[in-house]
Amino acid sequence: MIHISEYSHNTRNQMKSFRLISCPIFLNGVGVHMNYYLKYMLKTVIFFFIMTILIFITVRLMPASPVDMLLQHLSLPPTEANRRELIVEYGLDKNIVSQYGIWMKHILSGSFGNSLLSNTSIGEEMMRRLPYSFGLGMGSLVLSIILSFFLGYGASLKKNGFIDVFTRFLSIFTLSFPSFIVALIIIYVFSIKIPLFKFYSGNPFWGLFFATLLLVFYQSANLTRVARTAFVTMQEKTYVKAYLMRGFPLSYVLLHHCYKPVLYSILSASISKFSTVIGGSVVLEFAFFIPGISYFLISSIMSRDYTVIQAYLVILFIWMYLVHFIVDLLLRFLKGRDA
Amino acid sequence: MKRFVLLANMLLLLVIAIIIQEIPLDVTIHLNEAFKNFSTVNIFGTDNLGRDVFSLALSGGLRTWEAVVIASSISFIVGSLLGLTSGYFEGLLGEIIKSLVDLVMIVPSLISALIVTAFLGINPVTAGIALGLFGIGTYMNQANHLTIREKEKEYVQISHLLGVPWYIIVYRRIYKNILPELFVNLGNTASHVVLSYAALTFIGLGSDFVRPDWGAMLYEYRNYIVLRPTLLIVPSLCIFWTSLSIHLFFDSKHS
Repeated sequence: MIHISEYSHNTRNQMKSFRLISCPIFLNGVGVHMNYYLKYMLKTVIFFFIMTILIFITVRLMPASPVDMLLQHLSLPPTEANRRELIVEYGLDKNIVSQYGIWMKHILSGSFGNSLLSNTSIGEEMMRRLPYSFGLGMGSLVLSIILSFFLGYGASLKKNGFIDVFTRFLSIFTLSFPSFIVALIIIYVFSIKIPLFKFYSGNPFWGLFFATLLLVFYQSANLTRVARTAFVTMQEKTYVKAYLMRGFPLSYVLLHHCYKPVLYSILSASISKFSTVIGGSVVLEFAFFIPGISYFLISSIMSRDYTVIQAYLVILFIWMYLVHFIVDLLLRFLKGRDA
Repeated sequence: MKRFVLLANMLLLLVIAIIIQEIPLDVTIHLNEAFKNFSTVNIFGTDNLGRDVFSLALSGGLRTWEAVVIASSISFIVGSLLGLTSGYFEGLLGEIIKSLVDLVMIVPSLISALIVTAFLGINPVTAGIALGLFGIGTYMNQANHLTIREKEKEYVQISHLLGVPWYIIVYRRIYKNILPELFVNLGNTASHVVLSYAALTFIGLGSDFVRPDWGAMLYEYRNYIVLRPTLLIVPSLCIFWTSLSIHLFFDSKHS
């Protein structure tokens, strides 16, 4: 079972629905546990093959022919002889099953085939770009989880206090104001008005820095509300009330004895937010000119480079599964002690 | 809050209607009238090509709303029907539906919409369909959980005993009962579509630059951020207000 679920805005619902899925497996002991992971792996592999077949077919259903695009790119006339030449060179004359087989072989060897336009290995190109995107995605995810934990903690301590009102305002703001406009404002202020940083000089460091900051800002605003709701529900628990009666301050009890359930609900909310992290990073990579894989995707779509689009989708699939798997493991760990 | 948003939007529509009566919409290019200031003729001034920014913003708004309506109705209807079916038939059929939806959900909706609109050309219909289809997961999961919960209730059991056919139980009785809870997500989805559509047109793959969109306006005018910041402020505020009012209107927590 995978939790790729995007849960409702209502956080209580969120926790409830999550418990519904993951509880019974844990109560059954280690044997079922191993069985569960075997099943998970098997399902992932089957999914992977279905996904690659779907991608393969979809790309072949695209309206523009890659051969014509390539001829146009090489500024050659689209004559029948030229077309034939290219079709034979790229192996497009073979039947579709063996084409799929060749592509599969390329994927499994990690080279992902060659780019249609530049004729270089896509795998190498992706590996060069992956650290930027990976740093942006994972860095902002981890930072926003940490930040939202403490902000939610602060907000729950004092209802309608400064942090509470501020984070409520932030969450409404981030839900209704696109991040790329904020990116434009940042570029305007920090690069033109006050020329502190250079964004387009070829060194992507500052672009990456501000993109991560923006993603953290956008993610944590939402997650903070989740954390706050979780902390407030914890305050109703009997054991917390017992601590309070014995004279422990609320701030101490919440931080030392309630962190696991809260982390659980933040993580389960963030797992569903992860696809928006990737989606958001596409726009920000474009706005800040970060040479990540999403920027590569956009430039490849512009030049109709089908092989890169295929490879991107496969890498995205692997990445999403990896993140879900890791977060799932963490959730199981947190749940195990507490359930 | 709900009443306030509704009232503000009604007033806004009224003002726009009065203005359109006086000055008809005109998005054609007048190169000799570029970069005009705010005036009674061009309420928000004109852009680098001499187009009236007010008219551009309004027609961009219409296109945005088109995308919002298409995308959210597809996500809502398809997602909740699939969720109801998979929740009611929990066995093999449910698993198959859930796996298919998982496949759709693993690709972020913005990226899939980016690829689809790049090849088919970007307009409210293609963007709306792509964003809608790849956003069904939320509703499917929620409807699935709610249906599993409702199935245990007495009215469903009694309907079974009375011999009511399954499709009436699922699509009429259970659906009616979980509808209010499904609506909670609608504001979230719709305001998300506004932002996604703006992002798609901002990146602008396969876009038609004659047709105005808020995101495309932002991308075109980003060079004039120093010279004429108002050109960027108008579409930004449009996106912000639309998304905010959708969010506040549908969000039950703030009302």
